[in-house]
Amino acid sequence: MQTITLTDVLPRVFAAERDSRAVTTSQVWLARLELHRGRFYRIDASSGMGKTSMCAFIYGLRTDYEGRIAFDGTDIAGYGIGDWCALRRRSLAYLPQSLDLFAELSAIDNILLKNRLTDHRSEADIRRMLDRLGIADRADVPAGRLSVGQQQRVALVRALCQPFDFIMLDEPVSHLDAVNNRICADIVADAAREQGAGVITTSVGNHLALPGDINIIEL
Amino acid sequence: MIWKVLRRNISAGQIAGYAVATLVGLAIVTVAVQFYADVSAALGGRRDASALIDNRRMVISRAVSIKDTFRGSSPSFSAADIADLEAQPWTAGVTPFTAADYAVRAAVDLGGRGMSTALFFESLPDRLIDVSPDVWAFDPSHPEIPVMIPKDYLTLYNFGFAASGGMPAVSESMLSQVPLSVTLTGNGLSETLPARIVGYSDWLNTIAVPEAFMRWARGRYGRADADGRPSRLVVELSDASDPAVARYMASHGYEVAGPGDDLGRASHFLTVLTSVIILVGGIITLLALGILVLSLYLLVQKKRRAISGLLMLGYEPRQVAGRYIALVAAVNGVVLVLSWAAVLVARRLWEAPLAEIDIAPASPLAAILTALAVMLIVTAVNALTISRLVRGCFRE
Repeated sequence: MQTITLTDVLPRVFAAERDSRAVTTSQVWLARLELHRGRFYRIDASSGMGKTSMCAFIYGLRTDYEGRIAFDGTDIAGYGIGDWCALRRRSLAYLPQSLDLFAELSAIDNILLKNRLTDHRSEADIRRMLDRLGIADRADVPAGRLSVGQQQRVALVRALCQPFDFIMLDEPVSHLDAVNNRICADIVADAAREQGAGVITTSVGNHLALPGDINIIEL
Repeated sequence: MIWKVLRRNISAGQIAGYAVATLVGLAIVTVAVQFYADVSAALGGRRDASALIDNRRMVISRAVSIKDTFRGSSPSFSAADIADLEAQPWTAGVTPFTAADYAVRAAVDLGGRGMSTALFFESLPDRLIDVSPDVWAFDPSHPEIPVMIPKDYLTLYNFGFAASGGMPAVSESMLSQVPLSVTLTGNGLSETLPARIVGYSDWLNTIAVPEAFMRWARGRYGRADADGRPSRLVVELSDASDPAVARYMASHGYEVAGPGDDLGRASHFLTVLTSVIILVGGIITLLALGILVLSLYLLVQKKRRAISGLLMLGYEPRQVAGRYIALVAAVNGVVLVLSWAAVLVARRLWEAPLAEIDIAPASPLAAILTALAVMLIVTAVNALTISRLVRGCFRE
């Protein structure tokens, strides 16, 4: 996948506010936004502006929007469940704001649950990443017993256990300090550059400190 | 690892409840099918070597009316009557009796006492006569007439005539050794031929002679102006338990001889009774299936977040649903095997009583296949339901 294009997209829940200043000045809603593989993007917005909704629309989790979202020109409204499952294994990686880890599984098992689908990394690689993120000693702890910051790091590693053309990270470092933020950013940037992939992050303030050129988009 | 995520919230009690309810329903259906297969051999239109009575054939005649008495004729069947019978869906064949149109007189010497009587002869095609072809042959060049009489005639003689008249009782084999003299008169001829009783029928209420003899005798002694309409018919039935048979006979004023009618009613009763039992068992099975479907809805609702999480990672719905389907299929498999065991145990209850009347049990294949078909359908419904519910978790 080379491009993701949003054309006149607006969440249906915002339909009554289409003439509001927030929507009319948005670079995303009711606008044309083209995201390219290989580039880094940061979507800045205050709470309630629809960052998570945008990610959910692009990832196929929700369809309650008007307008058109296209992958390489093809409207995603026509994708079936099988198409989405294939995309989510090989093309689109996603770290949701809610993290969606399985509380009863350990940190390492949560990651391996994804990696077994894609066979993208070795367990040794995964443990090295956890070590770099400072949570190697928590690998065998049930995710439900980890702190939010630790869960964010686990979810990040999980998101990277697949090949991707784009990775979407919805407020990935909201509970991390600056040091861990930088480590996460480097890990994501390295993985993206390896594959020539695009990175899309969202932020309300504590944004992912990606290196290099960042395209900032106001939601 | 997926199972580790999915197996929480599965209630063993609910699974056990579903299994027990389905087993009860399926066992009722399967045992009823087996019971019907075993017992219907005795009652319903199926013949095997140990059938109690072959009720696939019945002998019918018209009821005698006053008109027949005044006319001096006996009621008979027209060609239209026979054609209508043959057209009925429960008829496998209609064969008219051929009656003698000449006078018959038989004489015998029993225990030093000679007896003679006027007789009548009738014939049917050899395939309807249950004696060996060797003893049923007739050769005009060496004429000896083979005769078959009803078993009841011998019984009447032994326990009625002989007992009251101080005559010796005779057995079937003894009577078959007694030579008979039969005088045939007609067409200007009167000839006496030897005859012998070669068989005893438990369903033919007539004095039967071979068709070959009847053709020869009618040609030699018969009347040219004889009425060719038969007064009795053998009706072979494709389904003796069909209640339409009795209705047809009653509406046309036909009288039925022999046990076929009663056994047909009993067979029909067995069919109705078994159908009701199977219906009850089927309803119980359906209710159990309904309970499972509701439980599945509940389970998927409880696990919606986990299922959505797996689908969000890129797992396909079939990979997620497959775990639940495998569980349900395993439970259904156990229920199926237990239902087969229930049939094998239950049939012991009626095997001994049936064996006392020489009824061999039918093959359990019908019951086994019925249970298998039911569980395949149940499992398919379960699988479709689970798949649909899991796919329903794909989007938020």
